[in-house]
Amino acid sequence: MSKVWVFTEEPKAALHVLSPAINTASKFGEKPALMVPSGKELDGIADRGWSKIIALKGLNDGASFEYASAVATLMKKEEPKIVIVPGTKLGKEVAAFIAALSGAAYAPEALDIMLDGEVIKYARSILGGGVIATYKAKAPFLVATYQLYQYPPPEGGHTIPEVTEIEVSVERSKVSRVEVRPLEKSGVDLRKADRIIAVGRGLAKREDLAVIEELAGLLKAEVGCSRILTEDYKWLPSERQVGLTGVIVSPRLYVAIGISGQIQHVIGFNKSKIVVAINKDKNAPIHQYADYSIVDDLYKIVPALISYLKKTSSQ
Amino acid sequence: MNIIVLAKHVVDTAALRIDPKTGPVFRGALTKVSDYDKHAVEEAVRIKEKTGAKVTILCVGPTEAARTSLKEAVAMGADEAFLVSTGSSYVFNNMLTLMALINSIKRIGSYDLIICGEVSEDLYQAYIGPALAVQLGIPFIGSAVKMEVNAGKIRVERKLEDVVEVLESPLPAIISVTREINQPRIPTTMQIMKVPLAKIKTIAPGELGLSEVKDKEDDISVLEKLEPAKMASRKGIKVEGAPEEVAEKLIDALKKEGVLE
Repeated sequence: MSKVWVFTEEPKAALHVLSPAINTASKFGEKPALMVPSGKELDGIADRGWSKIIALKGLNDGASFEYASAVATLMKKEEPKIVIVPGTKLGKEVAAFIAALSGAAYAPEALDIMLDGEVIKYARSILGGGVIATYKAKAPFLVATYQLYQYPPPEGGHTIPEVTEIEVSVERSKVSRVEVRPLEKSGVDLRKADRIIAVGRGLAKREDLAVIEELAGLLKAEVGCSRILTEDYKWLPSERQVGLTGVIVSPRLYVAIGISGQIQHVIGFNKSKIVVAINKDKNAPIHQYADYSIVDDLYKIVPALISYLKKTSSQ
Repeated sequence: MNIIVLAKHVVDTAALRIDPKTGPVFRGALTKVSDYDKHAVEEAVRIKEKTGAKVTILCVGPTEAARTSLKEAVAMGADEAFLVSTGSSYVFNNMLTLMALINSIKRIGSYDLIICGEVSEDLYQAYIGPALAVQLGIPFIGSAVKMEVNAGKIRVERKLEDVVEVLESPLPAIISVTREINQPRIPTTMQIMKVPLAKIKTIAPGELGLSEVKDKEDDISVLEKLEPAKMASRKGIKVEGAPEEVAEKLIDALKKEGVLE
C-alpha cells in the first residue's frame, strides 16, 4: 500500500487535502491511498487519483477514538510514512488520537511536509502565527492535519480504484453519543467570500455594527471581525472571526476597520488580494499590512464611504 | 470528587516581539495563563462550588509560572497547584510535557476528572488532551461548550461544523473546553497576592524520574528552527485628506484594482 494515506470521516473533506497529499505522495513516486469509514458516499471523491480506497467496517459513527484506533492498527501492519487528516473539528481529534496511539510525530495544521532523504520534516505556524517552526521527525512516521479551504483540489476523472472493505479490530470508545442536532448558525462561510469588511476593538458599541453592515451591503461584502468581538464581547458568531483561531480567508478585498493588527488576526487575511486598513492610531500594526492605509477615525471614514457609495450608485 | 486542571503558562503572543531576522525574542517577553485554560479553571471551580470537589492545578513550564499563572489560578478558587519546573525553558515538543503530566498525575493520586483548554495559545496543537487520555487509558472529549457531572458520568455538549453533539462518558475522563463554555472570574491583584506559596508546589522533572529538560527535542521530534512568518508584501499607500475626499480616493482606487463589482 502507498506510503501516504488520507483518512477522513467525511469524504468530501478529502478534497481539501488532495493537493498536498498528491504532492507528498509524489515524493515517494506514488499516489496517496484514501481511507474512510464504510458506508460513506464517495461520488466525486473516488475518481481523484487515489492508489487505493479502503472502507473501514464496524466503526461507530462519529467515534473519533475508534476511527483512530482502526487507522493506528493498520499503520502497524502496513507501515505508511505519512497519514494526512483534513482538519475538520472531528478530524483534528482523530488525528491527535492516531498520533498518540501510533507514536507518530504530529503536525497539526501543517504548512508544509518536506522529505530530506528518508527524514520527514514539517513546518507549522506557532506563537500566534508570527513564527514558523520547522521540526524534524525522529519517529519513522508523521500524522498531519491541514486547515480546510487552503488548497483548491485538482480535477477528478481518474480511474476509480476498487473499494476494499476491511474490518480491523479496534479498541471501543467509552464515549457514547446521546444526541445530535443541527447547529443553528448564520450560514456565512467567510472562506468563500469575495469581499470582507472586518471590524475590531475600535467599534465602540454593539449597535454600531449596523453601520458596518450597511457599508458591507453597499460593497456586496460579508462582515468579519477580530477575536475580541466573538470570544470576549460575543457581538458576532464565531464563524465571522478571521484569524488563527477563526477562519483563514482569501477574498479579493479585505477592509480592516478599527482592528489593531495583532499577528493572530493578520495571519487570517494574509492571502487577501487587496487589504485596506482604517484605524485612527497611526502606530497600529495593521497599517503595515495594508495596500491602502487610512489613519483616521472609523466613525468619520465609514459614514463618508457610505454616503459616497450611495451618491455614486444613485447617479 | 477530585478535579485536575491542566493550565499552561505561555508567552503572551499578542505582545511578543518578533525580530524580522532572528524570530521571536523570549527574553523579557510578557507571560500569562493560556486564555483557554482559564476557562478550564473556571469550569472546575464551578463544579467545586456545586459539589465540593477538590481542584488541583497542574502545569509543566518555566519556574516563574509558580509566582504568576499558578497563583492566579489558585486565586480563582482552586485548592492547590503543582508545577513541574522546566527552569527558564518553554518546551516546544510534546513528550516531556506528556511524561511529566502522567507522572505528576500518578503522584497526585486519585482523580475523577481532568479539564484542559482545547488548545494552548502558544502551540495550538490540541494534542496533549487526547494523548494524555490514550496514556492514562481513559476517555477524552474535546471542545466542550457545556458540561455536567452526574453520578459518575459526564455529559458534554460540543459543536462540530454542522451539528451539536451531546456525548456521555464514564469518569474518570479528560475534557477540553472552548472559550465559549463560561466567563472566567477575574481575581483582584490583592487576591492573587494573598495566595500562600505553600499552596503551590514546585518540583523538578528529576523528582518524577524524568531526564533533564531538553526544550527542543524529545524521542518523537526535534525543533530545528524558529523563523518569522513571511507576510504578503503590500503597497502601503496612504490615503489622506478630509473624510469625503478619502472616501472618494479609496473607492476609485479599489475600482481600478478591480476588486469592486
